[in-house]
Amino acid sequence: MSRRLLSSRAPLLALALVPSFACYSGLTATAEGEGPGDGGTDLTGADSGDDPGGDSGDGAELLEVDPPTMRRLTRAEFTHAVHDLLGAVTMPMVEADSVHEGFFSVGAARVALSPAGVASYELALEAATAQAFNDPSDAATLVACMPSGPADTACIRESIAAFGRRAWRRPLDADEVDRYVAIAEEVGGETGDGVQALRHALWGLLQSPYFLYRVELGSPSAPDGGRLKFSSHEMASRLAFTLWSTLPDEALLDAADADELASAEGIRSQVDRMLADPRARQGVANFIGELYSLWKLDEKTKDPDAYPVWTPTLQAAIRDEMIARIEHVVFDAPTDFFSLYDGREVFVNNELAALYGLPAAVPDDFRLETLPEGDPRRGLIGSALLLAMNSLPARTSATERGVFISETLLCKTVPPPPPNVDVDLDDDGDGGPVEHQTLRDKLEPHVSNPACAGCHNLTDPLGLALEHFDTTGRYRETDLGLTIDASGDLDGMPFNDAAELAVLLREHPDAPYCLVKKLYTYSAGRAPLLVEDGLLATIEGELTDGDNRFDALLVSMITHDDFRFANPAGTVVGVDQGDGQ
Amino acid sequence: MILRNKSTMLPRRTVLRGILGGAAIALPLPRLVGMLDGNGTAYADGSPLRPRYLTWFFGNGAEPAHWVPTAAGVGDAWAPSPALMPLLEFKPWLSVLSGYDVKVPQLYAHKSAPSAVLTGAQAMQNGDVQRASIDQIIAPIMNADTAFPGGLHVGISDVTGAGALDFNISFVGPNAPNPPNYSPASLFNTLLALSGTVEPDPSLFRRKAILDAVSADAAALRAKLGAEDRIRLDRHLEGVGQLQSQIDATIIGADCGMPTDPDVAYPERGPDGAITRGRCEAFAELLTFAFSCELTRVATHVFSCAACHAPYPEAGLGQVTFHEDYGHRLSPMGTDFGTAGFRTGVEYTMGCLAELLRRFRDTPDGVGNLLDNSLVYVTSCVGQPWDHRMDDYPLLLAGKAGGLVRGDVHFRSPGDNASRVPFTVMKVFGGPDATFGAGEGMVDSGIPELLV
Repeated sequence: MSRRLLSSRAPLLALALVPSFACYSGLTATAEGEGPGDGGTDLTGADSGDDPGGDSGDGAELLEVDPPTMRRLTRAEFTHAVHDLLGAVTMPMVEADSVHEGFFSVGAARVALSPAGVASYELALEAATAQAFNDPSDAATLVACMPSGPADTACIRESIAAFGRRAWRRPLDADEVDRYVAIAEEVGGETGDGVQALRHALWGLLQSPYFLYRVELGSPSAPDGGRLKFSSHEMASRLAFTLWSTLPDEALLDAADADELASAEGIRSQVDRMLADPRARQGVANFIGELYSLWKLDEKTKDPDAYPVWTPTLQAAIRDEMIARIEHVVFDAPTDFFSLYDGREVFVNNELAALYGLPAAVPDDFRLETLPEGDPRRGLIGSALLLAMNSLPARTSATERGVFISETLLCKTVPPPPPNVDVDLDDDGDGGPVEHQTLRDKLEPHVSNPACAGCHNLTDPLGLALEHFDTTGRYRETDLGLTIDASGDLDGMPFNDAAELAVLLREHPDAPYCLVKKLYTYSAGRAPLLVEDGLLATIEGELTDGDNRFDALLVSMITHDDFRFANPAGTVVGVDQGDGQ
Repeated sequence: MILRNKSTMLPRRTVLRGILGGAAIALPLPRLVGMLDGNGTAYADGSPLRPRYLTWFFGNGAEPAHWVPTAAGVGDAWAPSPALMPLLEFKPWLSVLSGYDVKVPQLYAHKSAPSAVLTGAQAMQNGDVQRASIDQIIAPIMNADTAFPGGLHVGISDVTGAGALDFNISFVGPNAPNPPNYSPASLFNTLLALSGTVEPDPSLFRRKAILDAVSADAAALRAKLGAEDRIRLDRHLEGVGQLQSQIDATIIGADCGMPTDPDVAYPERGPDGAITRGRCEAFAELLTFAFSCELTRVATHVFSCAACHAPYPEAGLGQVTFHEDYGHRLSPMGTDFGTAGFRTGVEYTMGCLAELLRRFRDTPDGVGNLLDNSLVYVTSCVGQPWDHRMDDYPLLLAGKAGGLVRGDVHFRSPGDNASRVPFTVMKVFGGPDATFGAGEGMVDSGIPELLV
């Protein structure tokens, strides 16, 4: 199976571009967007260059690599970090994340905050610090020293330095400490209240770009060929946000202070502890949440008349179930991550058990159950979450479900529809109510029309395999009395139904590679470059050697050189475009 | 400097203004007491009030057979189409442009076309834009001296549209959107503080001190950054500067009365992000206030984003995806049902636009009303949606821009470049550029038939 890794990260100035896009199967160019046909194609190596359509050209490609960029904390990272610092405060929403390459973490490295977004941080952090300091005895647990009064400058200084080190992921220099002590002194002078004085200084520290952005830029390292090497403190930040989706803890910062995180060995010495920490679950859940776009569940409506089963409690349960499934194979009973793809283990409460055709239990706990042998529901693609998320309010969507499988699990590219295509599939000529057809029959034009077939053949056969599950993920024997044909093939491998497709997905040779690529994109804040194909292959090999355990993948990802180094501005890399087209 | 004496016989604002003292205030809010002439019809120096600009965007397009008026011409020569009937009472202020085509190639459905009508150029394949949107071309010309130099940006639906331009219609440039605010309540709080009707809090000076420290941090950081990050950090600093200016403005206080509290006037408007008439009304009140008070002269209003997947329950269209069942006519009830539902949805959308135009028209401004002194550019992400057409595109202007635009016209120019509409808008607001857009979308002439 052909594998070519093409970046859609714009760090690249394409000096010679590859042929313009078309519908390719098996290539690994990235696609933006979520919807059927609304995804983008990127065979140019750049998703934000001046040539959105790509250009023609042949032969070798020379690409200039951008240096690493600051990454704004995503909404989730911001919330986790504030909670680490100030406890479980509530805040108004800050500016929305942008999805690039399918990940907020990539958008965070690219998109500028708007003026209104800056104001949203001021407001959110005002609320957060006010709550945290509402009760001085509670606030005392958050700071190194609680001032006895506005004149207790030594104590205020100590707290600012300690809080700032944690929030900014590095020690503050003297000028920086002075800057925020001055705020405390002014507010203390005005109010006569040392607690409020300190609170205002912390409110300021949290509005600083050093808190709101991950400033991990590296410094040129002569012994490393001039590559940019991340400092120990930058590494502490990279490790914590990658593994925990939040700030480093004191132990990690202490290791950074001792400059112990500049080497792979130093990093390895932290990994076991970090993966055993409860925050590792938060980190993995955040990756999965971005990978599967769980945030979209909030906007998924279902026709309430046809699907009264779609309740807020069910939606919460199916989200919890996905996270529970992930945590089960990663943390609670560590095993092959790809067992998720065809596993029979599910997590249910009674409401979700009913949807899955499982018996109710007393008490109604959220519990691990195993679907019976022969059950048509199997693996990730049988989860209510992914079935319902990739469906329409009143109907299933073979295309959306197929796009999920193709792009998210196998890293295939599904290009957008051609211009001016008539998307009327139900037009039976008289314009009246349509005689009910199975979705397979409705989608027949996708197969018979060459303009559609090239791309829909990537998606529809996979989505149609899931037609035994309605838009909420509930099993159905027929579609309004019509027989469902759930058979198809995946890259030449035939299947009869969703359960067989699930097995094929687990065994698919691109599945490990795709997971590696997705985690790399998430952790690096950019899609991998073509020249990094070898690196991904190495990591994939280590994943295999680690029995496909996700913790093995995480360890591999954060201990390879690329996690500690970046290319300086102006680095030009050559890419052979000679195959795979 | 921090206010130390909280008890004073003087009104707090007077004291705070005194503390601002002779410091240079970079925010000459026109609507401060004494900034207008005795009649309130012009600035104190006799110059006419400056026009306001707003982009009003709706997703999923319009069907030419439903949208385009039958006859072209001026005044009695034309009558609104069925889609535009909700705007009938504003006919004297309407300029309908029909026959115009989006000329940039449709590389990306629901992305290429909205990018073209907002920026004049092709989208990028990730759904971002390559150039500034029309509102951000106008903002530096018209809006730098207001409380929101980049404009106010609000939205009704917060449901995604397959990644097309994300949720945004306002862009300073690539990777620099102005995401919409979906909360009338939060916008009310912001405007209330600036309205001059509530006593400012002495803690405003604490906020200024903090923002000064943040600026100092940013300045130190900037020296370490590459070119791309410097642009991003500078934009962050713009936001810090805007907050500082707004604090000054709050202390000085405007003279505009009080904005309408959406929680009082529209308590049943539904949650932030839902498509409801009440939310359209709440934002219409607040935008009218902001324009009338000249807290901003530039704004955008996203009814629904490009290819928006939200339902229109109030329009009687159920909880199904408007984009899918009606925009693409994939309702199980057939294409006639889909077409009828789509038309209903577009008329409902124009009804929401009417809420804004009505408040503009009914708000005195200068020698006329706010609609006389505004220009609202209305457009969408696609032409006829079920075949993703980009010809005979929905393009509408409302308002007279202070007398520069004649109104009450349907001008048809089959096959012409849709970019000529935003080019005309740009020129009305004094844009100096000789062209608008790029590539196939670039134009160098406007539509003189629209102008007085």
